[in-house]
Amino acid sequence: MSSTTPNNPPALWVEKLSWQMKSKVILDNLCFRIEPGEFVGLIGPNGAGKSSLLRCLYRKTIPSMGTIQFSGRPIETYSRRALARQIAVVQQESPAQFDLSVRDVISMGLTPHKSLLAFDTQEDHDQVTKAAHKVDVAQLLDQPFNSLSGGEKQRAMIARAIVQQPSVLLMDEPTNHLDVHHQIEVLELARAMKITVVVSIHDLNLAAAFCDRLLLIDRGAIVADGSSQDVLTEEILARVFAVNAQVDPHPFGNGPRITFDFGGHRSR
Amino acid sequence: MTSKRLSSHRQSGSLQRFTGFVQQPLFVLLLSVFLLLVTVLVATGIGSISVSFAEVFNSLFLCNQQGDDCAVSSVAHKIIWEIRLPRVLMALLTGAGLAITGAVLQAVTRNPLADPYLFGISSGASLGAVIVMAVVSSAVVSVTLGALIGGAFSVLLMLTLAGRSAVQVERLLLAGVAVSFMLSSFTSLILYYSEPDTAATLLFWMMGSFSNSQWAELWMPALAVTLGTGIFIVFRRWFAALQAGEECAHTLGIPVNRFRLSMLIVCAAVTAVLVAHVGGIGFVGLMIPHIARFLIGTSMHRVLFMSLFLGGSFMVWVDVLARTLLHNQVLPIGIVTSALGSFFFFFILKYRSRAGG
Repeated sequence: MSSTTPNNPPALWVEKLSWQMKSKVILDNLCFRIEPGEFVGLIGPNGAGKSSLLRCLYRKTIPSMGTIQFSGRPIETYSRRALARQIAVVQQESPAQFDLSVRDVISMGLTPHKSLLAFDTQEDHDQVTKAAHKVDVAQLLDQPFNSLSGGEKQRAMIARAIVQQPSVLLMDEPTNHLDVHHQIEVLELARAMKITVVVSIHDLNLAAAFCDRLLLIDRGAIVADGSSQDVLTEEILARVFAVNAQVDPHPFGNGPRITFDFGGHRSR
Repeated sequence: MTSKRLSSHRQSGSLQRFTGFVQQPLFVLLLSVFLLLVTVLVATGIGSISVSFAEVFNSLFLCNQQGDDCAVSSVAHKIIWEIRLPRVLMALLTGAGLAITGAVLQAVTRNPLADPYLFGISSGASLGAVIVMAVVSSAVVSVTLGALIGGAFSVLLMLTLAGRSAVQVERLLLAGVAVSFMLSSFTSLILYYSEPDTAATLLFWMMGSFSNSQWAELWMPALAVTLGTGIFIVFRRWFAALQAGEECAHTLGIPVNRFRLSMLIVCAAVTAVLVAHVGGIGFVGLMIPHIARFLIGTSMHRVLFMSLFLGGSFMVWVDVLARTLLHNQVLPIGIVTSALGSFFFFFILKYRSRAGG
């Protein structure tokens, strides 16, 4: 884990965060800190509150209780625009009503940096093209966004985040609906940005391979927080996900490998 | 032989470059500006007394105010400046204004069926006009003022009815529909009990007309459309971001709800001014933005400019048709827009599905 110095405030510092919708408790007393440059995976069963937590972090949802500090300052003291210059978000999928071009979508990343009266400059165009090259969608810039494949769409969304020049990237299940190759590609591109990343992932092996640290959330509460070896144990997997799994060292790396017991052989 | 093949090759290359250029958005935009200018010049010459293109050009750009120093007859000069031009400009402003507010409302509500009348503005304006014509008398208050007050009243009523939930577009739209029905019922009631000629005048007003356009009346629509357009252009990036979804716009630092509500109010103000002057002309605000998008792509700033130019040209031609189609009679504008518009729309839908788009 990265070292903390007192004059270097955590990128995100969440304390006693709770959120309830009507009377239902969605997030229950969450506490954690994320240091600058960490690549953190949010894992947990469906409906555990991963998306709700992310929405609190990008301030779409105002929590009922608790505080969120961003770079040492309460998140509510940032203007919406100032926050958008610091935090970029990649969602599961971004539906476009009218068919926007890929260039239009990537250019949106400029929005928080441009004043209302400013025109697009050559520099802006260059920035968009450069980001598109980085994620390998440069040849698709003038195509309609909706005609792209799932992997290409997510790459374009990462290009938009690159143009936004944030210090934190939040990703809400960015690898859903993608094949293995594109899942790896999306996370690699996110890591190549060399900024703080918080990403919710369903695939536990993928999470183990890419994240410096995992936060396991179950029913709105953090039940485990630490390296993939500490979080992804057979005992925890059985308790939280209700699956039988065998965890052993990954043959290609130093993380754990999870082998699920799918139960198929028993029914035969 | 070889040189021939080479030259033909080069030709097809330049042809390719030419077609490439023709499909460029900038070229399409320039073309639509040109179309608008030609439209104004030609349409000013058309009417029961026809004036030649050259005379129009001379009178508009070369003559002095009295028109006594050039080759245009003073009658023609007078017709051009006092009758035709204000009318053409009023049509242009109306078309441009309705089209651009339509484009904005479609982007802001993320609903391709949104049009400038979705808040019941036209029924509010109609009610105002009806009350002035049938109850108060137009000698006391002008019909325009009555319609303007009616339009503003409908917007206020809608905002009050929607209350705190006005930040949610869906509820606001539903409140608009309710207001529209409510005010229409009052209009029908007054119409039912009014004299036959009042009813006929009113019906004609409600279907839209540029017959009463005068210079003195032009300033308010001009101001409304110019201010509105300025505001829309300033916020073009925010519109674009909103097209990708509410949540997405939020993460780009846009105060989505506040922005949407203020744009709805700007649109309502522009529409109310236009409706008060020329009556409720439907279909332009709905259709022109779609045609603009079809011709030039979905980038918001392009759609805004294109809607402005196309809407202006379209409305001027509709007015030309309305006043020349039947001899010695002026058709209500609303009838022509709807008829012409729907045919054109079908054509585009067909063309588009054949093109596989």
